[in-house]
Amino acid sequence: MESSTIKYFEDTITLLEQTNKVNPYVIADFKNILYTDEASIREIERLCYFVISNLCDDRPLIELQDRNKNASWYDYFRLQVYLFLNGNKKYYEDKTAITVIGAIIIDDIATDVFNHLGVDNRLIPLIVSLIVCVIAKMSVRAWCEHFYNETIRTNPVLEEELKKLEGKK
Amino acid sequence: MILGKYTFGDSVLVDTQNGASAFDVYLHEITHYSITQRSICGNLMIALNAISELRESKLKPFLFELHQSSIVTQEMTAMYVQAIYERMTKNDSKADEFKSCLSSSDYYKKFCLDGFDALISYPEYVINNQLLLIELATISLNFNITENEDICYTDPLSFRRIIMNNPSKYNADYRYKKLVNAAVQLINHNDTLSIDNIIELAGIEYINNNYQVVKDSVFRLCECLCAAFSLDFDDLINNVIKLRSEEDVLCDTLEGVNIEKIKQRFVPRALNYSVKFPPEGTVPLLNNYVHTVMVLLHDKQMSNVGISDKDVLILHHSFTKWHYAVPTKRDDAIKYVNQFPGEIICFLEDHHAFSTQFPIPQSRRVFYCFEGQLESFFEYIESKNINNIHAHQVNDDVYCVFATQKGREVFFTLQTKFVWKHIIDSINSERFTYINLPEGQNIDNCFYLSDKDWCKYEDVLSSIVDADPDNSTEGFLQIGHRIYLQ
Repeated sequence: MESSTIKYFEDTITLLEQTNKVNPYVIADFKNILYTDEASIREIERLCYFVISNLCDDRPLIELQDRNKNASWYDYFRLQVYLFLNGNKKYYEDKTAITVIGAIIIDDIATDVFNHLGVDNRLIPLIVSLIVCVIAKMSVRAWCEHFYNETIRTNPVLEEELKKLEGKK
Repeated sequence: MILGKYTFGDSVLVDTQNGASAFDVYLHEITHYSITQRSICGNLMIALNAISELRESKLKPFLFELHQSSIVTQEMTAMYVQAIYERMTKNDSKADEFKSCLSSSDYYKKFCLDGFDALISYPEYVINNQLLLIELATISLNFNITENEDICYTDPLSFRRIIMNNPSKYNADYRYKKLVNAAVQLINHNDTLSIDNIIELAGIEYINNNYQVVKDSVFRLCECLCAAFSLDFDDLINNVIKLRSEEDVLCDTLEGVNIEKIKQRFVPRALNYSVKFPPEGTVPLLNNYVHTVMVLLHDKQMSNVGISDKDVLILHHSFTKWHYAVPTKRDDAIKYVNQFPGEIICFLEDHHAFSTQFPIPQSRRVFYCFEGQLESFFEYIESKNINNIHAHQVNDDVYCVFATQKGREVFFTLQTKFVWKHIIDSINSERFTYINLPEGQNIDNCFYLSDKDWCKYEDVLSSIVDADPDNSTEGFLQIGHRIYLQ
């Protein structure tokens, strides 16, 4: 694992602990799984979702207004990240780019999306960092393929949304 | 929306008025109840909850640690029981529909470990006469953390350190994951699924559960807490911790569910915020000291939760917040209420039935609680020719408006702060007269000396609002103050 990636994980976990909002045992699990070689993708995603849910005070993650309830803002946000990464394939194999990806997502995507959905501004960088940790753990290419196969393709709302967003580009 | 709740007590709470009547919701909550009551750690949590509420609030963080480290065990097992129930009772397409609905839920994404889908599809879901995950959850929670000599009972973080440093011994969720992984592995390899095989493959320590082990661990906890907080051991054991009989603790089973038995463990919505039972054996004595009794006349909803042909009396002790229900035959209820020295509360929807079918002396006062919009409340009291109102600010967000007349009836309603302007307007327009108390009768902004009669109102409010029993000053609950209007 790249040292920049390890540093990114460490910084994110430290910030997470400082919020005092997240189940400490889940933080410990999340930390362990980031450093474990044989990690289950589903378990990484479950822990990431759990942590973000705690950060949002355990309100069921807000469903998109005026859309099918099967798409949560969490899915919608990841869709935007997917779109960005899929359009910038140079990041697919560049393992040192993880902090760059996080910064670009925060600047280019996150604020708009999260403000629109009423998520606390102060939590945005941390939520983005958590999702980026998952991407870094799996590799950008693997995450994109996994997200497309397991989430977008199984959810007609997200599939439709992806088509719309791709059309706008 | 929270449909149900289990709070480490003797009851399971389900919101029976908000669509949570589906039986799988009952099962979800009864699963928490079951695995908590049958395991060593669960009984320690029940004891910690009882002691922290009644004797030493500093213990709550210890309960928090055990709860947080067992949350996946609790929630995934409860969802598994829901899913198995659907499989057992519905045809395949309905069960698949439920499974699909379940898998898109927030709970599923947070709490269901890899392998959950395989487990609910596996045909052999009974093991040791228990549902598979009930058994695994019980094993996960069967550890005795009180045996650890390094715990400092005045430092909750010592609990956390010990749990994190010894996950295979004391971290329920860690143990549960290991067991679930082992079970899924055995299923995938078509190996025999037995508890011994699962435990061996998971590699965790297992305490064989029995009543004596549970009892010893709770006694050990009490000894440690008494030493750390100067509490009285006999008092804790006799009055705070109600150790259930052996049969109740360990022989409860979800296999062959007795629906009526389960339903009787649920309480209607009127109780859905703060049910707290007093220590066993004190109820007959305590009944002379409770401050209010709420009379719920029998209705169909009670039949739905297993209470047939009876009214329900909800007894409330204002200072301890003990708050519990007693289903009672009408004649006995009338006899009890007639002798009851405290305040009587009813819901306004029962007003007519109560005044015609429930004879009590003319001198007795009855508080009628109205649930609805303020304007409807005003229209109702106007229809009764009542012009006098006074208000109480319960907290920053909630006001209570009382409407009184010379008779024995007091009507009241809880409203949000947003209606305050409407109240002032109705006074300025002389629609109602606001009754201030004479100056000098206000003590601590809360209690009044004379029988004009703030203590009684305080008792009534305390029994209706969900005040925090830890938020007390000199033993009395703080639930705001009566409003004095210039």
